[in-house]
Amino acid sequence: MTLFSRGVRALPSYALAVAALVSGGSALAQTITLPSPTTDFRTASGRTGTTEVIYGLSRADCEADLVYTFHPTIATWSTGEFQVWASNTADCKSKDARTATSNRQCWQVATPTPAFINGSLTVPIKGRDLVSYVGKSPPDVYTPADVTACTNQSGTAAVKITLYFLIVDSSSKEALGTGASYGLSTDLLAPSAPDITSIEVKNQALKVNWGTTTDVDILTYDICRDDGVPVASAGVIDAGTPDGAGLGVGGSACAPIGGDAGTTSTTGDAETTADAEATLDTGTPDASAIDASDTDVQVSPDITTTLTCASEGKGVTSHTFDGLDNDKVYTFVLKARDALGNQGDVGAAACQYASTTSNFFDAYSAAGGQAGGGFCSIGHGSLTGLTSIAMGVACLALLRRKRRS
Amino acid sequence: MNLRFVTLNAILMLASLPARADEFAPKFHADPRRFESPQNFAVELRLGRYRPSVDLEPGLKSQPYREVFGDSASLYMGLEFDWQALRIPYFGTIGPGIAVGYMDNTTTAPFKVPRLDGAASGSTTSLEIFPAQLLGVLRADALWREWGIPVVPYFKGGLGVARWRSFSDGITSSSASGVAAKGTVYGYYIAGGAAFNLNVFDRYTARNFDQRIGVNNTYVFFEVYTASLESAFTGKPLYAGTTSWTAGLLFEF
Repeated sequence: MTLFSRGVRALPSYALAVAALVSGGSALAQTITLPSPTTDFRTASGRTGTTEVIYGLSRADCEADLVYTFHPTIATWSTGEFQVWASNTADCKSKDARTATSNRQCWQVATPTPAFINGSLTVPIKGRDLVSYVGKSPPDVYTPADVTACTNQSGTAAVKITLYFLIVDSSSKEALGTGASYGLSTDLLAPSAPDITSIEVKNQALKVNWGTTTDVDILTYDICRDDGVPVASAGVIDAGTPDGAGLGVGGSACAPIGGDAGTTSTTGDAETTADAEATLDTGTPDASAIDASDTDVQVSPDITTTLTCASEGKGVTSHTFDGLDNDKVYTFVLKARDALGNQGDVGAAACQYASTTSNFFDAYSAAGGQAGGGFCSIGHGSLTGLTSIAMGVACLALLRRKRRS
Repeated sequence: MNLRFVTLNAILMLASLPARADEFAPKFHADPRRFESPQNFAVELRLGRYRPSVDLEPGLKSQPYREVFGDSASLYMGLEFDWQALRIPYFGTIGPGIAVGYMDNTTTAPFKVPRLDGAASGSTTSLEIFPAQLLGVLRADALWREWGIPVVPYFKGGLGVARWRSFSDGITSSSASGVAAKGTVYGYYIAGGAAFNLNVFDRYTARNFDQRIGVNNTYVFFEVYTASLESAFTGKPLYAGTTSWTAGLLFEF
């Protein structure tokens, strides 16, 4: 084989090497950087936790058509098209993940901006577009999502979506240069709350117990109560059972409050619930608060605005409401909330009333005992000698310490 | 100096060598006090049963403590610190001491009016007592120190004080007239008991305990006592005292 013929046969290799060098040079030249998230990144969520969660997308965000505003900076943009892609499974810098005819795993989430603008861009991205094709086969072009995308989640656990800011070669569809990526947590389904299993009766207090749950998507429980109604007007008192009809009082007399009782809600359900609440809670049966929107929403409205609620962590299975009136029937509902603030449906409502208990001092007083009143209170005493002095000094010391504190 | 004198001296020195070697060997069975650190104080960790004499208060129409808490007694936990200020030769030590303790009894608080739904009460009612004593303590440890008998009889006596409080679900109870269910009572305290010295079981460990930490003696003890707390600084007293027993560990150091 002559030197010439070997050179001819090697030409394709040279060409590929040169192309790679050109492509590489171009890639190095076009660099996209994203600034750190700030409050104008999106409207403040009020959440705490990781950046992914704070700036993440909840069901309410999606329904409110939240728009993220990114400000990527592009250096020496000289060729290609700026595109933003999203995926929860693949690296969208890969051409195949974006363009494969089958098993495509990335979808475009923003319309292309004018080419060749070096510096900072303003890129609005709709929250709905982030979640529109999770678990689905995405189209090969940008297709704006509507509100139905806000139901596109199979499990209650949050889904991490990664956004890819890329310069894409118009013809080869290869990603050019150094793209940027950003992860966001999305969660469209609220966790379900376990049922209230029992309510312990105390003096001016009720301790509500609930079962454990296997739902991993729970951050906190909201346990809420109404203002109560006197036992006399609450109906027949019977033993009750911890079934869906409520606990302890009147069997079915324990009507659900604050939202629909455990089923996927519709507008009608919520309004029916509001009616039920009106018969139980003469205080604030706020139907508008209960039926927050007329959309097909699985997440319940925020009942914490109309009821007295407490929040407990995921591992907690009880809460004691203190300072209640004895002989007043209170209705309790339990909701679960996830890290992105999605609040699930209330479980079955449960009712109970606190009762006056007797204690040792009652029994002692009833027997004629007259002790009590504290250590340094003024009273009749008979002391003599050193004992009196010692007790007096101790008393003064105690009073002085109390005054200091 | 002649040869005979030198030879005699050498024989005497050789004969004395074994005796000198023996002197340098540890004498575990010799007087144990030879290795002891100074001993001035004692600490007792006390456990026992405590059932206050509430129902013995004159004038009570019933037995409220028994009605509420039944016949059971409560666990008493206490701590005592003694200063063995004076050693009486061939008898023992005497000095002041101070003791504090705690007991409480808690039970379910029944409903005043029985409920038709049969619900059980989740409330509790409690009586807690913090007894304390200012004592003179006499420990007759000559049996142990002089004759090696590991038993130390002792006697205590002094002023007893107790702070008491009755509460339900953590909140101090009160009477219908607003009198808070708490107070302080005082009286006298006398006790007698015996302590068994544990050093006899392992003198080597006991000596290490002394050399490393300074604890001369470790005892188990059993004590019977009467805390007659039937006077109040103000108002009427709750009979928070008791006659009972306590046992525990005693460390002298």
